[in-house]
Order: sequence, then C-alpha cells, then structure tokens
Amino acid sequence: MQREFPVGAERPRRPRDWRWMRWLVLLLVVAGTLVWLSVPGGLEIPSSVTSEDVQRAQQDFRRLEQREPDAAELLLMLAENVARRGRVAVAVECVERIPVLDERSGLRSRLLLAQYCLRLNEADRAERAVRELLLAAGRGGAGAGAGEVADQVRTARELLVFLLSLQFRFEERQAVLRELRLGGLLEPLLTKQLYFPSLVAWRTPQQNERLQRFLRESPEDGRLVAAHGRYLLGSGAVEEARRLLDTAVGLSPGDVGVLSAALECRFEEQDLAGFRDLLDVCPGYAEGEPWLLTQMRGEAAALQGDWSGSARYFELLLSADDTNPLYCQGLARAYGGLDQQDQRLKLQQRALQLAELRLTLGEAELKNPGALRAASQAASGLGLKAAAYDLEQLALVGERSMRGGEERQR
Amino acid sequence: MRQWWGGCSEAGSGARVGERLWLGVRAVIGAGSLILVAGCGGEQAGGVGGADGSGGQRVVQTDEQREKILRALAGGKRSEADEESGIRFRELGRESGFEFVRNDDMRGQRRILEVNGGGAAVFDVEGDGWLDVFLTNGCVLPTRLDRGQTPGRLFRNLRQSELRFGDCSEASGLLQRGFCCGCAVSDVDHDGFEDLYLTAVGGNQFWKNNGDGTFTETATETGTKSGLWGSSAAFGDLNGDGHPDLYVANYLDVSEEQPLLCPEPRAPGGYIGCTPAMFPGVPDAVYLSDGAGGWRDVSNAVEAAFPGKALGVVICDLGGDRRPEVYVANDGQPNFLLVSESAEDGELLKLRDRAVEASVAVNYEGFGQASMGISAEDFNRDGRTDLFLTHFYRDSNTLYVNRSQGELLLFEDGTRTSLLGLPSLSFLGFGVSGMDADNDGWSDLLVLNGHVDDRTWFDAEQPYRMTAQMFQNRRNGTFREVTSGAGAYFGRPLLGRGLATGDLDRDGRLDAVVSNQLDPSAVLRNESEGGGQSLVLKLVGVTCARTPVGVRVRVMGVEPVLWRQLAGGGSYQSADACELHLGGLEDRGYDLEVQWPDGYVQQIGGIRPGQWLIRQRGASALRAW
Repeated sequence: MQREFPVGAERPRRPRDWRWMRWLVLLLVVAGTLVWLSVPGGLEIPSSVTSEDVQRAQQDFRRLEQREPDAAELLLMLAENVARRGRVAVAVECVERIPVLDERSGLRSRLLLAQYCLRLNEADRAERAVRELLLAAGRGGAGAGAGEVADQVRTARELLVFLLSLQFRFEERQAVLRELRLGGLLEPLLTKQLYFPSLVAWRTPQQNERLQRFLRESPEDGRLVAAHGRYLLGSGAVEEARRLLDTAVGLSPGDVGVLSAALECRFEEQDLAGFRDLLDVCPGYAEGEPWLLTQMRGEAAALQGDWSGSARYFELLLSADDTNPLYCQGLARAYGGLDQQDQRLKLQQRALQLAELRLTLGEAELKNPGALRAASQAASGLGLKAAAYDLEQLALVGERSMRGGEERQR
Repeated sequence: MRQWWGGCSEAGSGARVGERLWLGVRAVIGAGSLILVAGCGGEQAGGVGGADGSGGQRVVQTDEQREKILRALAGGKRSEADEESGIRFRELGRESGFEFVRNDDMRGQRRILEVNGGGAAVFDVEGDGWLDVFLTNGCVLPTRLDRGQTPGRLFRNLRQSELRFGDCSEASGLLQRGFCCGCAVSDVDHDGFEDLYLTAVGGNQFWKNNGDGTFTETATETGTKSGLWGSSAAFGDLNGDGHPDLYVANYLDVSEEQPLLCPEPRAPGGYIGCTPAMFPGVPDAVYLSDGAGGWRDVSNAVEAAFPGKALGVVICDLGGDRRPEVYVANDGQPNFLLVSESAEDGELLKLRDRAVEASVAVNYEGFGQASMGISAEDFNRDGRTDLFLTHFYRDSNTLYVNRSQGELLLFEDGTRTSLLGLPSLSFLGFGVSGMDADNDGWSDLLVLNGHVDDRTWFDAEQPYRMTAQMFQNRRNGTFREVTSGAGAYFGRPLLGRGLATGDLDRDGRLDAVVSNQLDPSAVLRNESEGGGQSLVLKLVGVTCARTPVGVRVRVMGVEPVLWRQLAGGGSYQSADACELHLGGLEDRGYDLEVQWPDGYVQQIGGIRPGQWLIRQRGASALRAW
C-alpha cells in the first residue's frame, strides 16, 4: 500500500499502566515527523525503484544542478532515468507522487506523466495529467519560471489537441487551439485544425491504429470505444459501429459526447425510430454542447420539416465553425425549405468554395509555401481574415526556411 | 459518476510544499488511517484550466436521465425481416463464345494511365434486333510501341436462346488499336446503323457502321480525334437541330511517354499510384454534328469554372423541358451540370455549369467527391430523373434525388435516406446501372467495384479486388443490398470497371456486360425470378435524331408513374443498349405516350409486353425481333 505520509494510529488503551505508551507513541510520531521533514519533500520513493536507481539519480542531479535535489526533483530525475531505460511504468509511479503544485517540479511532473502515459497507451490518464497541469498553471500555483511554464503549457496543450483529435472531440479541441494561438503563430497542422476544424482529414488509418493501441490498454473507456465506433461508421461497418457505440453509451451513460455518436449512427443508418427515441432522452440544447449533438438536432428538425428549427441549429453550428461545408449545406437545405432560395444558393456556393479550399489545405505545408499562400488567398476570399493572415505568415516562414536551406547548401 | 478529467481541489495532491507540515500534523492528529491520493472526487460541472478544459463537454446529470438513455438503447434496431430478392445473374462460361481479358499494360509501375480500365458497348451492329457486344482494349504503353496485338473485341450475338457469341472483330474491320478506354453509341448519320465512338489515350476513334457488318474509322476525317485522355463519351442533340452531338469527358493531363510515377520504396515494385490530385485536369470536348458526316469542335461552348477531371458523363433531360442537360462526373472535384443557354452572336452553342445552383456539384457534406460512374433513372417514380454516382473507397456513392419544379432545376442528396451510402463506403465504385433487374418496374442498382491501387501492403482493410454489389429498390425511396443472393459472380472480388446493359437474349430481362481489369470480362445473364412482364422498346427518330436521346415513354394508367427516358452515355466508359426497358407489367395491352425530343407526342395503344420497334410519326408500332 502506498504511504505518502507517516501514519499515526491511536489504539484502545487501558487507563493505567499504559501511560508510558502515550509517551512512546508521541515520541514515535515526533521522530517520524522529523524523519519525514528531513527527507526532502517527504515523498516516498516507489518500491519498484532500486537503491542504485536512486544513487544514480542523485549523482545525475548533482552533476547537472550542482546541488542536492529535493524529493520531487529526485523523483523527476529518477523518472527520466528509468524511462530512458524503458521502465516507463516505474517512471509513471515516480512522477505521480509529485504534487502538481510543487514549486519546482509540479508542472514538469504532469507533463512527463502525460508523455509516459502516452507511451503506455493510457489516453485517459494522460489527459488527466495534462489537465492537472493546465489547471495548476492557470492558477499560477507552480513556481517555475514564466518562460518555462509557458513552454510546458504549450506542450501540454499540444498533447491535449492530439488526444482530443483522436477521439473526434472537436469542440473541446477548438478551445485549446484558441488558447494555443494566443501564444503565437502555430505550425501548419495546428493552424489548419484551428481555422478549419472539419477540413482536415480526421478519420485516417494512422489515427485508428493509434486509437486501437489506446483501446487495448483501456477497453472499457467509453470515449475511446465511441471514437472507434465513429471510425467504423465512417468505414461503412455499420453493424459493428452500432454495437460499439451502444456499448460506449453503456460504459458512459452520462457522457453527452458518446451519446451524440450513438445518435449519429442511428441517423446514418436511418433507424429513425431509434434516432428519435434516443434524441428524446437527451438533455435539451445547451450552449457548449458537442457539435455533433447540435447537428443531430438540426437533422431531426429537418426530418420533421421544421425548417426554422433546423436553420436555428445549423446557424449555431456555423457560429462555432463557419468553415464546415456540411453545416453550410444543412443551413442551405433549411433555407430551401423556407423558400429562401437566394440564401440557399449563397450557402451552397460557400460550401463549394470550402470544399475547394480543402484540397489546397491538404498541400499547405511549410515545404510548400505556394500552397500556403494559395490557401491564404482562398481564406481571404471567404472572409476568413485571421486564417488568411496566419496562412500568409506561415508561407513567409516556409519561404525563409527554404531560402535558408538553399544558402546553407551553397 | 466517473470522473474523467481529473481536475483537483486544493485538498488533493496539489498541496504546496509549505503546507506539508500542516498536513503532516493533521495526519498525526486525525483518527484512523489517512491516505492522501492524487486526484479528487466529486463531479466536474465545468471545465478546468479555463478554455483548455471545458470545451463545452457536458454530462447528463441525473440517474433518471441515464436510465432513460439506457432504456432507449435497449430498444434495439427495428429492422425488417430479410426477404428473398429474386434477383439472380449467371455468368456465362467460355462455351458462350465470350472470352476477353483486357490489357492495361500493368507491370507494377502503377502509372495512372493503367488504372481506369475499359468500357463495354451493347448495341445492334447489323440492325437485326439482337444486341452485340464490344469491349475496348488497352495496349503496351507508350502507345507508339503498340503492335496492334491487343485490339478491342466485337462479339456478335448468335441469336440463340442460350446466349452464344461469335468473335467477329477481324471480319468487321473494327480492329481498335491503341489504348482505348470508353465508348459511346449512336446512329450519327441516320443510316439505320449504330456507330461507335471510342475514347483513348493519344487519339480517340470514330467507327462508322457501314451497315454490312463492317466498320470504318473516321476520327481524323471528322475532326473528332482529340489528343487528350478521354474517358467517357455521350451522344445527344445539344443544339436541338435534330442531329446527335458528341460530348467527350476528358480526364487528366498525363504524358504517356513519361507518366508521373510516385516512388515508395516500401511498396511492391517501388511505386504507389499517384493520386489524380497530382495531375492537372483538362477541358472536355464537344462536337456538333451537321447530320451529314460533318462535325465541328465547339469545346469552348462549355462555361465551367475550371477544367474538370471527368470520368463519367450522361446526357438526358433532367428538367422535364425536353432540353437535354449534360451531367459530368469529375474525379475529386465538383461535378458539372451543363445547361444549354441562348448562344450569343457567332456562337453555335453555350453550355453553362449550373451544378451548384442545382445542388449536384458536391455531396451533402459539401465535398467534391471522386466521381466515376453515373446512372440517370427515376428511382422513386415521381416523374423526374434522379442521378446516382459511384465514388472512391471510404467516400460513399451518392444519390441525388430530383426535386426540380418548373424552371427551377434542383436536387437533394438522398444518399442517407435511400440507405445507399453506408454499404458503399468499403468499396470503390466504377460502372453502374440503374437497371430494373427484377422486372418490377422500379430501378435497382448494379455497381461494379475495384480499387485503383493495391494498397493491401500497408492497409489490409483496403482490398484491391472487390465484389460487385446489387441493390434492390424497395419501392419506398430506399434500397437494400442483395449482393449475396445475386449469384456466384457477386461473390468474386474483381477489378470491375465498365458496365453496359441490354436485353441480350430477348427474354425481357436486362443482362449485363462487365469489363474487368486483370481478370476476364464477363457477360451476366439475368435469371431473376418474379416481377412482372416487360416491354423493350427501340425508338427511332425521324424528325429528330434517329437515336433519340431524351425521348420519354410513359405507360398510361399505371401508378406511380411508369416511364423511361433514353439517356446518352451514363455508367462508366460504357454504352447501354439504345433501348428502353419497362418492367412490372401484366400480360395485357397498354397505351403508351411517347414524347419525342422535338416536342412531338405520339400515342400508341394496345401494346403488349414484348419487344417493339417504334418509329416516330410511323403509321403504327411494329412488333419486331
């Protein structure tokens, strides 16, 4: 059993002859407390760590920092050492013992924890670590240097973006990307994910392969199961997708994101009775709900011929992601139902432009500044000023990088 | 409640170092064991870390709600019992005399020129009422190395109840050389015999039917040779002068001498197939016929926003105004819907792209799909022609349901509601036919599949060869897949490409001719059971094009409306028989209404199921064959 702090225990005692026991207990407690306080931080080293590991970590730390480590620093050094030797699970044990608000090592411990969990394919644990870090950093609780904190927060957010992308949790990812962008220009993929959440391929075999690794480790994680179900649905394996998505809801019946995926499956296979039954028991619309759920509400309204209702939901979706051609088409259809043909046509043309932009975006990388610039111009034409600006900046970065490379070659 | 993001309160592991002493003391004075663990309990109602955390993810709060959700799930899927479809096809064996393996010069380089395969044409060469079969062939690339050893093949129908064919390629003189792809059929010179246009890499071919079982190549003299990589082609009277014009769908700008190769050291052969996105598209070609053997290139009549990457084309009247539209299936780009408009001074024709306005440029998700084959049929029998398109792997086939009213040309993506989308995601479709396979009067769907590149070396989920699929129309706007019961051919994974249909054995059921890559091509005899009787009509124009693309025949007194329109082109690189098939009939006389493309409406009474030849303005309908 893990013990982080000395434990004292009062036992039933007789009124006489045992008074010396009180003193003994007190003495032991005081001694234990003093020992605990004398050990840096009072953090216990996991039993899976050997004394040689500890010695090596202490030596390494002294060599690097020219001082003695505190307990958290020692655990960090231990973690890094054992992780390098492939003992990632032990490394996790080490960093998990460090309080996230530890002055020097708290944030870094959570970053390492997230990274180690990813190596162990533990998605949920990795996400928890990242979020602990962000919470602590947001509260200004950790005392690391500002630059160091910023770096750690940035890396944590990038990890979070990866995890959320893998689980198709785009509305959550969007918020993280916005925070990331506040810290400066993002690299091309993140830029594309920020400004064009639905125009970047999101159901790839590579992603699925990674998802499978997570699932092998956590087969009862409802969110992961739901993500797998959505992947299968996109592959046409409807029966299997439905089975998985229903399982996912059973695993996480309170999770509206998972519920949305089960709804989507029923809608795609046109099990409209099942679709309506499930939608009926979903909570009512609330701001910030998963985009997929809002989309399903829009589709349900359209199925009933409630074009005003459908338009309302697709307008909400477009206010969250105005570059999604599907939302444009959904709103266009609703406008068609309302006999507002001019608006329908405008939206369809926008959907078409976005579809074309998607092709350009696919090629927009730093090594292809021309495509970045073309995407920037297309974004500008669509009135997406911020996206156009960032893509243009990335084109400049790409050009500079290529010029630098050429000069180095010369 | 399962806590998933692990936000922590101050009492958790997030204790400051300075707080340790207090915690230690608390540990001492507290009763019982005190174990402080990382993380914290309690539900998280909101996000953590500001915008990083919440992202709006919500949870159902009450147990009651959760129970309701689980009860809703327990309802399960309400599916109908799987009933027998009755649709059956039998592949003819070698004894039929039909034997053909296309040569695409596939030598492991994975040149994009190799992957599209060929097409098939079902047409009546001699005018004897029996449909013959032609299959295009490829050759060694580049084409200058072609020694003419693998010409296309013409199989003459030997008019036997058990379908038999004779290879008459040599005798007919129809010795197609070069690397041919698609084909189109029409009686372009009004001589009573159907002519054949072939698209190719490096020069299309126009084979004039001499009426005596032989053909003469006329592409150079008619100026219709083109030098672009043609895929599908279609005939139709685009300018309303009574002569069949020609639309050629061109694909990519690729050098056959030095085609772009995409090296991939890990792939077998060291290459992967380059995607079409890496090649520029090319404009399509349009030729106007003067009816006397003369053709004029009016390709600049097409007003589209970009040069397409066209693989499929169909010409038919989509708006019900007896003016033909041209619908072009582009690969990875928005499709075109070309509507003829008033030509300005000096122009002979103007075709403007109206696909966006009509909602047939991109699918419901707003994406320009990788479109290949097209079927134009009235799938829901509402009197309007719908469009069905085949697409790439993991990119669903699409059904555009025609909702046009009056002047407004408008479609709706009915893929999901028709249940045709999901079953197509694991396939890569090419040839397609909206044939009424079971003779019930409702158009079913036969789809050929097969990947363009063998990617099994890195993704076992993506098969190279794929089975064909059969979808039965359930007469309520939906389809059900009946592939498994449709015959042994549908259980064999192949590289299906071109598909053409016609009643080859004159039994009133539509048969199919399939052009495969690598494996032998096939004739599929329709042996479906059930359904009704059928009419097979061959219509001959007199004051309009002799092959009257756009002609509509309606069976009077049948609800929902039972009608067919003769389309030009369609499917993929293939030509269906220039006949109309109307199923779901009883053994009695029917009145027909024929709406000819020039506006003439002909009423014909007392037509019984069987094969009929109907001549425009003729004294009567003639029972033929």
